[in-house]
Amino acid sequence: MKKMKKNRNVGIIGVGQSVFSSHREEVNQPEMIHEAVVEALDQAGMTMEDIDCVVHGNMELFEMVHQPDLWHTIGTGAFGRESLRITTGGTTGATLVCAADALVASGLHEVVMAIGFEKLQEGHTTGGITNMADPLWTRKLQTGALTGMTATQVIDEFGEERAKKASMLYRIFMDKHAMKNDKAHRRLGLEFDQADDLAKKSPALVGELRMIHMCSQSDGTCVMIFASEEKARLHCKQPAWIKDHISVHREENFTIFGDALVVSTHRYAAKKLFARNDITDPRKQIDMMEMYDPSSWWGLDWIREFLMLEGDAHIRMVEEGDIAIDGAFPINPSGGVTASNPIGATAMVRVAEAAMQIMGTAGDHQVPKQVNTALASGFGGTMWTVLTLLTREAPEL
Amino acid sequence: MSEHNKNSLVADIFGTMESRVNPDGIKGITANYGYVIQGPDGGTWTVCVADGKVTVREGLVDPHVTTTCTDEDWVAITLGELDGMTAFSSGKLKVEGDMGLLIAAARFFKKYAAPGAGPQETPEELIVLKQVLSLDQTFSTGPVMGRFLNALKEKKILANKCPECKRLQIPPREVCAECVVRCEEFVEIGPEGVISTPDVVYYASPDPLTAETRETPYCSCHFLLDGCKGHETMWHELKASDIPRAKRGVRVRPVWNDTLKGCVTDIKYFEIINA
Repeated sequence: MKKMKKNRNVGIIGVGQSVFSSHREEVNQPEMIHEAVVEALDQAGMTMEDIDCVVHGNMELFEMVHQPDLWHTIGTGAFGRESLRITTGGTTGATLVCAADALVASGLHEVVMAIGFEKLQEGHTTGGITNMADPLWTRKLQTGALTGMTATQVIDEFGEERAKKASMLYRIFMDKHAMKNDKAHRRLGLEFDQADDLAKKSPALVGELRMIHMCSQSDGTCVMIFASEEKARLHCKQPAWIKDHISVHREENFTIFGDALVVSTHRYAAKKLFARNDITDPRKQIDMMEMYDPSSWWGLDWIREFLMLEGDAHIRMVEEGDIAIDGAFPINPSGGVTASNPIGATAMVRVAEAAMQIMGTAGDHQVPKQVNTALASGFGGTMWTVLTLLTREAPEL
Repeated sequence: MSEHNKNSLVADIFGTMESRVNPDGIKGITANYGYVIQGPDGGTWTVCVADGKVTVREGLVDPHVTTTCTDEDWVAITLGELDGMTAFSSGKLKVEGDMGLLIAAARFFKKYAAPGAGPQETPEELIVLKQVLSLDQTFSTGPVMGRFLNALKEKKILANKCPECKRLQIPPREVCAECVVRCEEFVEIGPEGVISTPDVVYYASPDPLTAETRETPYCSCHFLLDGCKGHETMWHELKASDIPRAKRGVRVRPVWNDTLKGCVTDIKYFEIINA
């Protein structure tokens, strides 16, 4: 896959997020979206008059409502503007960013607003996910979004004690980060000395995947504003520039189990993205990552894939605290997905949080070192990956 | 039995439970819920639910599920100031026994109002509306999936083979998505094989089509049937009573239903073949 050709640079100049929570009964969907729209416009110093196009997305069927983009018009401000709806499952939020980037980079629009939302308490997540499975075959076999297979594989490879310790350590790092992010849904105040107790007592969901490892079901909205280089420089002191992004999807049937090695879509995507951007040592050339980590087992395992590591290097990164907000390679200073998971927004929050680290607007969860290059991942379906690379300097076209 | 502080909020919460029962919430439930409340205002109580009635007793009386937390946290949870699930996840609230029962308990009682908290008779503001969806659906199988499903009626499991990479596809698909070529050669596989990746599910998620909750634990499993290799696994269920022996490499065979309709559920589950 060759690098995509851009007509002009695209900068992220505004980010808005609603508070993420399992209890947003006090607002309906358009109202919840409006909170983040207002915040993003404020940060960009813009009004709806400046927005040429609104791109809207969430997980299809999660709220059991069709065409939410039309229903939400009173909250999004999209009336009378170009508008697109995007829904690519768990990766929706990341694909919204790809779409907004394409719309601005191509020259079609100067300023695009992208909206990712989910109000999981109003629908039926397992219902939504199960309905996405092949109705003729796997629908009857689906376990919703839960699987313990990764836990089994990590335990097989590294032994029960080390694997379980590392996944809990990862979980507690994420909670420590979430405690610094007042928008995060689950801020549990976990301490490292609770790890063994929680790993034993937290109820098992599937195999060794326990409730404490798993992401939340959140309500929430993320809104981002994308502008052409000229507009971005006018409105924002330090935009986060979109250097590149890559989407890798597998076929809908799971073909990753069995007794042979699998090249994960994560590693495949990272390899292509890094090669075309001259990244040979991702841990040195990239300053931090926001990862779509649906559970602390996946988060742990996927560090190895995204950073193209071998052996136990990823486990050591966790054991040695490299992934902490002030570590050598911070991962999810926002608290990540185990803290907040408004699914249609989740993958976009990853890009938004990575952008905030470059823009210097992350507040209490700002990484202490200067972030020049940041990586964000989206995840969905049967192992789909979208990776986005952001930079402090405007890329050379 | 512990000495209770009879004037405490905790005692009042348990003392008023019988008067706050929500009849719809306890319908069909028979269980004893034990509570160990720690701290100066703590004590032990059992909430017994049976035949549409609630009886609160002091002490622990054969509880099916026991909740342990501090007096302060219990008051905060009851008043809605602390989310029960958050308290649970962070280890503030501990549960022993049947977790599923506890989830149902959230709907047992009408809202608690602390003494002197002012009039509570004002009707609650309408902010949520409950809806149930249930729709019949029909899906076309297409000829390839149709052939596979039809073969199940004869207790045969078919895969199709990619002419380029030679991999078997289970269930068969029209093309190999990786080589982008048609796959026209069908091969019979199994029906016996081995367990490849077992996934034991403890969390009961409701079937969205019937709204029924599956019995747990059940084992969603990838099987490598005879004639298959690598990632050519078939996804199905393992017999629940075989779960303790579910390990990679253990031999299995399908158990068929009496009536075969040409659908995935013609295979009831796979079971372990005893050596």
